[in-house]
Amino acid sequence: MTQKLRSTLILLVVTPVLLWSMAGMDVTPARIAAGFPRAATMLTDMFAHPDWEYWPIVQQRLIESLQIAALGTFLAGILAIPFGVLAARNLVRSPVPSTIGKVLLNAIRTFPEILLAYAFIKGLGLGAFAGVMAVAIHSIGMLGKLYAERIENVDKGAIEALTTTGASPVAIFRHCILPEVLPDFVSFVLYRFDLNVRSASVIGIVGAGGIGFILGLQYQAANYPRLGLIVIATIATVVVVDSISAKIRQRLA
Amino acid sequence: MSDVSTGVAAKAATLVSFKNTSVTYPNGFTALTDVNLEFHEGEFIVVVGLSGAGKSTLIRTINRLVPPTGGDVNVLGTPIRNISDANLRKTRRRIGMIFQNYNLVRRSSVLANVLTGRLGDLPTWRALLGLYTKSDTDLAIKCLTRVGILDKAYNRADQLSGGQQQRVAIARALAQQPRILLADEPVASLDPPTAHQVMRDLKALSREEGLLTIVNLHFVDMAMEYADRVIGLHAGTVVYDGPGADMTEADFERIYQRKIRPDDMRGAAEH
Amino acid sequence: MSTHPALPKRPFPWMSVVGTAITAVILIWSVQGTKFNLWVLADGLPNVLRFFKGMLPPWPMDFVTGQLIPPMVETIRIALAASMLGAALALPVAFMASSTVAPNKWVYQITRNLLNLVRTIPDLVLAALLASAFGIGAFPGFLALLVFSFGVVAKLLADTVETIDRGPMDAIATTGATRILQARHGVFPQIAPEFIAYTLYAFEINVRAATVLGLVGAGGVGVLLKTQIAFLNYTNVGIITAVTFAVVMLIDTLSSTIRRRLV
Repeated sequence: MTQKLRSTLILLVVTPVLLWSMAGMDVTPARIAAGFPRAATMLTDMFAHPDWEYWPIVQQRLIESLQIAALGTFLAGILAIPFGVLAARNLVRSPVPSTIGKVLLNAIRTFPEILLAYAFIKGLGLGAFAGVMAVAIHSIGMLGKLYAERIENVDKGAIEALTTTGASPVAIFRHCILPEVLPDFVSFVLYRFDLNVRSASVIGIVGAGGIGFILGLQYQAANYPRLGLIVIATIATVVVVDSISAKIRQRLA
Repeated sequence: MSDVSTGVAAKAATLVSFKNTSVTYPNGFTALTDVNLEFHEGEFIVVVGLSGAGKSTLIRTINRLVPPTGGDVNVLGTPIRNISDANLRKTRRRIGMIFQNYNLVRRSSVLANVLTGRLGDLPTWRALLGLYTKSDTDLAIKCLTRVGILDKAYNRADQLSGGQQQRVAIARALAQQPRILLADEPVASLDPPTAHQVMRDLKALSREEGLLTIVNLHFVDMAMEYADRVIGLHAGTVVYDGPGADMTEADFERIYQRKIRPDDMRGAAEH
Repeated sequence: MSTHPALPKRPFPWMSVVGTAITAVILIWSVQGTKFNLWVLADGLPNVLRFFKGMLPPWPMDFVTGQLIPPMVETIRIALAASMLGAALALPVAFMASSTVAPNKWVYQITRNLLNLVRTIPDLVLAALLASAFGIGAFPGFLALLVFSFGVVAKLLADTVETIDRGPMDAIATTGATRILQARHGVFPQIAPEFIAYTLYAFEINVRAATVLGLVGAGGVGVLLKTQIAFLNYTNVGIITAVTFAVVMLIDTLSSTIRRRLV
């Protein structure tokens, strides 16, 4: 009985929220009716007749995407270490540095990657270099957070044991905390690399190199056969990279 | 056995002396009240008592993992209650400690774990770069030989059995070239034969190196078997201090405040 | 202590050496491919910083009240609608994609793979394509995030269903109930808190994503962001970013508070 009551209550809350959120969307039957045939034509153009002649350029840009993701992720992996150390709660007794670190990382994580791409394009010009920097800075947010959480979960026993040997805090960090967390840091970096392969294919749309660059180009030109090839190639790359990185991460655990 | 221990105690140097030591934790719990004890070079001391009696606190005040809140503890000639961090580290270098859960760096090799015992004596830049000297490595190898697991030197610490991990921990403590060895419930996670093996190892080390060894044990039969001197704690005060072999049933009941039960015994070694 | 085994030969650290070598090769290759250059970076940095400096206050508040609030609300609406409906669609699929409840191996394998495929499509790309099919505005953005939320919730929920206690489900099965009824009464009550938690989680991600969808014409605050960037109006870009950040933080805090209560 109470369960039924609760379900009813939840429905009473959910329904108006859903109706409100759908209200401004201007969804008319006509729009949907017109959209589906158009989507069907698009999809046929894209996936039934992808433009294979375009492959050399796609390949070149895909490689560029992977390079942007690789270098950007690597830089972020290094740059995130001081942030992670700062944000970890258990290294210093005062809660101030960790709070500052966490707020900073949150701000970085929430700052749109696309805006970073724009900013670096302003400074470095159109192309992959700007993409590397956008990916690198943006990824610090998530990696720093993961690093900090990992350091917070470090085995207290080993730290205590090394404290009793008279080792200095720096020595303890280097010989106790680092060996324990480093394999996991590598694993986080690989995971972030997966995500960055995806986002490296997106930031190109604003001009920061990679497959996204020709994606944006062909989208504007409404060249669906070429767009189809780009999408297929992107998805295939993402799937392959995901599975390779998952294999390596399994090994690391 | 008792003659040997009192004989040693008479002429050996005093390494640890508790002077009216009390410990009250920040949450208000008083773990030690007005403890006065002297421990000497080469003594093998076992501390027994119920959990919460202050065994662990007693051991941990010696290397100031728990700071005394009343009185002081003089360790290796230094009153430790108010010393600076740097001096505390200097004192700790000569005090090895082993733990119930071994507390090894699990993902590092056995040798790397033993070498961490040398960190206190290493200059910071060497510690940071992991540049141990040749003599450090030689010493670590000697310590591993000593505990009989040199063949595991390059295994990851977490691949070893519990007994082997505790030996790595002993080797790490030995690598500090300590004068005092503390052991906080070192066999509580081990099966009886392994537990006895570890206790025999500790005892032999104490004899051969003249180490003052202080061990916390839950099991009274083990305490009697290995200790030169047993310290019985109840509610933070010393209620027994004497040779293990001399303990009577009345002494047990003073320490445990009840009749002895089978689960207070670890059982004999299956030699 | 009786035996004294010898020190074994130090094993060669293949994993680290090969790993480092491969990483080094990939990095050199990437540095060349992307024309990464620290001198160029140092040269360009002042311009990058000028972009950020331009975003700083003072911010004209009439922009917030006049132009920013309506698309911000639209963004929240898109994210809300997409996560709720996406989660609703995900519920039955999650059952099919978990080995405990799926009727047979085939259904399980096929739905699993489909879910993995769905999650590989970048949402911005999907939004762009949907915008050209259904016309620009909030609707294609909603559709794109619908697909995305569906993928996330279905995957997480399927993993949760795999770990449930089979007891209640088997008990209901003995009464001769259909598989759907077993799932409804034997499984759903066990995973209901997680279901709501994942929906909220998808909502959090959706709000972040919805803020950029406008760049490809899929509605929300991103449309405004795009025009302000195009007009080189960095102050307004700064306001948009700050308000978005505040909204995202607020929603994250609210949602994670609810999630912690649930699970």
